[in-house]
Amino acid sequence: MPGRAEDELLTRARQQATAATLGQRALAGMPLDRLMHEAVEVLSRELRVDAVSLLELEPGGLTLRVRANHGFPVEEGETLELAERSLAGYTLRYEGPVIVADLRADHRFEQSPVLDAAGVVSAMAVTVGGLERPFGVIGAHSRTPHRFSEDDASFVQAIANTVGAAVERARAEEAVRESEARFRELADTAPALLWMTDDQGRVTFVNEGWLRFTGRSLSDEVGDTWASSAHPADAEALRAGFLDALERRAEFRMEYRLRRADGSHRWVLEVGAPRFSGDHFVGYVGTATDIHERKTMEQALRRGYEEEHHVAETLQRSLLPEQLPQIEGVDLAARYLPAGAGPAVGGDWYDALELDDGRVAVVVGDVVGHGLRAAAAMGQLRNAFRAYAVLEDGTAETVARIDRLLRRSGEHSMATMLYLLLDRDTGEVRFTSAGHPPPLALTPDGARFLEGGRSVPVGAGDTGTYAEGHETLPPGTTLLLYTDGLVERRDAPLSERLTELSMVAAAAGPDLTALCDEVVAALVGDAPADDVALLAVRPQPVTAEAFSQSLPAEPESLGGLRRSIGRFLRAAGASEQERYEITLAVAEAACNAIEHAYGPGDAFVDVEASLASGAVEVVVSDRGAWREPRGEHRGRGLLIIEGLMHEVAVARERHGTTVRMRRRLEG
Amino acid sequence: MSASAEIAVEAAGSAVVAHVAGEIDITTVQRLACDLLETLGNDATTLVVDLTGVRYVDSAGIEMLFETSRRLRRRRQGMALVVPPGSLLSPVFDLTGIDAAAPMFTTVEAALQER
Repeated sequence: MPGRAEDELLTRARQQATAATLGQRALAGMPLDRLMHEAVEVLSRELRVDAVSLLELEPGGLTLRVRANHGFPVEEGETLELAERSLAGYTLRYEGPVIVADLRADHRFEQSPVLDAAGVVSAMAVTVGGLERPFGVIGAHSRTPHRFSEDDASFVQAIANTVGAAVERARAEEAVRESEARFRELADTAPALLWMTDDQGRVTFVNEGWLRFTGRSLSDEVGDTWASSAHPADAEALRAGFLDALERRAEFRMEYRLRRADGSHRWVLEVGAPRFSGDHFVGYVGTATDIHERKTMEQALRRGYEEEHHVAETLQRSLLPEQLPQIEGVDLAARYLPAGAGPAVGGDWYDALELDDGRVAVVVGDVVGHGLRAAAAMGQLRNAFRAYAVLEDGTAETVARIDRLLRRSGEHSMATMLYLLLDRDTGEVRFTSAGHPPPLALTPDGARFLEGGRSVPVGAGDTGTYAEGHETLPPGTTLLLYTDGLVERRDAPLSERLTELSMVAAAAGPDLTALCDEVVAALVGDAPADDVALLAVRPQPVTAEAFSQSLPAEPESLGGLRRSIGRFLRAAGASEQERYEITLAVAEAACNAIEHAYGPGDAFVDVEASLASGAVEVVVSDRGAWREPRGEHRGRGLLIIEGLMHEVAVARERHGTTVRMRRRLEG
Repeated sequence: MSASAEIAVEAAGSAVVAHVAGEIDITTVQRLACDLLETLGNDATTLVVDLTGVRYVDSAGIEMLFETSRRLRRRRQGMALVVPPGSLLSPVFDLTGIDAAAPMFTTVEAALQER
């Protein structure tokens, strides 16, 4: 005979499974009415009773409404009187499961017309709980005597609890809906721009103010429309910022431009806060506040800042050589990069000029400080340098004079500078570094920094004494002068940066402009933190193969011609005396053309020279008519040419004169 | 680049020594001629033109030296030239016969003694 205990176990297992199933359905969002029907169905089936009802205690506590019913002669939605001493009344007060074996014999209760009519003998009732007061009561009834066990009571309570929780959630949702409705009502009359989203970030509501502002309809705004009215430049960031906040359920605030009905954009500050119903995240609510005035003022302020930066930069550029001077026999390239942002334009400068004796003076400097003052001080320094470099023979004397000038000026300007004098013909350099990073020499044997001539910055206070470094650089050497903005960086030691500079520069190709570009790109990119000035200098290699030059027909051209033809002759292997004499002869011929062949105007004298079979041949030609020498010294000019050259031929044509000269080299 | 020439003047008794440095060519010659003539006051007897520091002289420079010598002679004043031995300039001076304009010496001291 199967044991009773075994039966009870099976029943309990089945009841627990049933309660769990109903619970899952409730969680899955089964509508409340269906859930209640389901509840009475499973109870009548599992308990094998004749009638099950679910009654809701109505507000006021005096009536019950039938929410679900199985087997009772009542209508759903029907209202029943709640008698204090009825089973329902007793259960609601007692709040626990109430089990009745024989209703008529139980004196806890008065007679109930409903239960009498239904012929109920045995019954059990439990309370359906609620947050502040019970939701109602569930009753199970049998017309025959029925013994309800403790397990049955637990089962009914479990079902009742499931229904109670579902009711509670539905009520909470209803409350949220109501509060949202109230919110919307309020929102629509508020001057602010308000919006709400659901838990997926979809817009569920925007207020009248928002619609008036954007000129769009509610149906345009509702849905996955986030950032759709934002300025295209801001939309991406706005969307990303919101999605990030949404993922973290965090508050967010963002400034962006919102499109107005008239198509213009206004800056707004959007603040969004997550909404929760209990612990349940339900979406965002937020406002957008018009901050256009503040924002445009901020921008105007920033523009003012940029304006000063711009003025300083313009001044800076206007004080730098517009283009480097053309110096015969020297390749030059320079770069100036202003600091990336802020009014931080400094007083970096560079310059190059040819001195009377044919040496090339190059300089880079860096006035301490930034902005307009530094740029102005830089202009003063540059002018001083141009004057003193011509007057003084050595670099130390020139720098010392600039130092004295700065200290006398009362401007309290201080600057570092590197001044270098280059003899193109011999490769000799003299240089003074006034607190400035050393120049880099890219020689055919490798790169090295020229460390000599170290001295204090100019304008530093005490009388500076300035040293001079001397080096002789092999042919083909390129010199790189720069300001500290190229190499100084907070996150790397200077020695490391200098090594990087020498490696990048040594690896660059032969083109000087490309060299500057590569160095700048590798060391600072296009937005340096500090100003950067960079100057590359390289004497052109001289070859004796061919010399060709076209000079403006004016006396001032002669000095340059003498130096360039001198370099050609040096390369050709001429001795110093030969160089002097051939140079003089060429200059005399060119001078004759300049003095006599032309009137005023834009005319040129062509000089070509070549070396063949150990002899130098020079042709000087013009496009004017040769004139017979006037006065003694012109006569001496021809005398000199003929006396110094081994062969001289003068061809006088209608359209010009050509002087052809030749001299064998003894070496 | 144009050339430049400078002079530094030194009194030596009744003589005046003008040390010339730089390049004497068509662009510097006029200024230099004026400077040399002004250097010598009426009470001095001789102008010693020291060309030791001169790196270049062209035909215009040589003409200027001839002309200066002529003018001084008219003022009853003398001129002497100093060209150091082995100077790059010497062959051109020989060629142009400048010793006809002024006596030539290899040092300033020799020029002052000989006077």
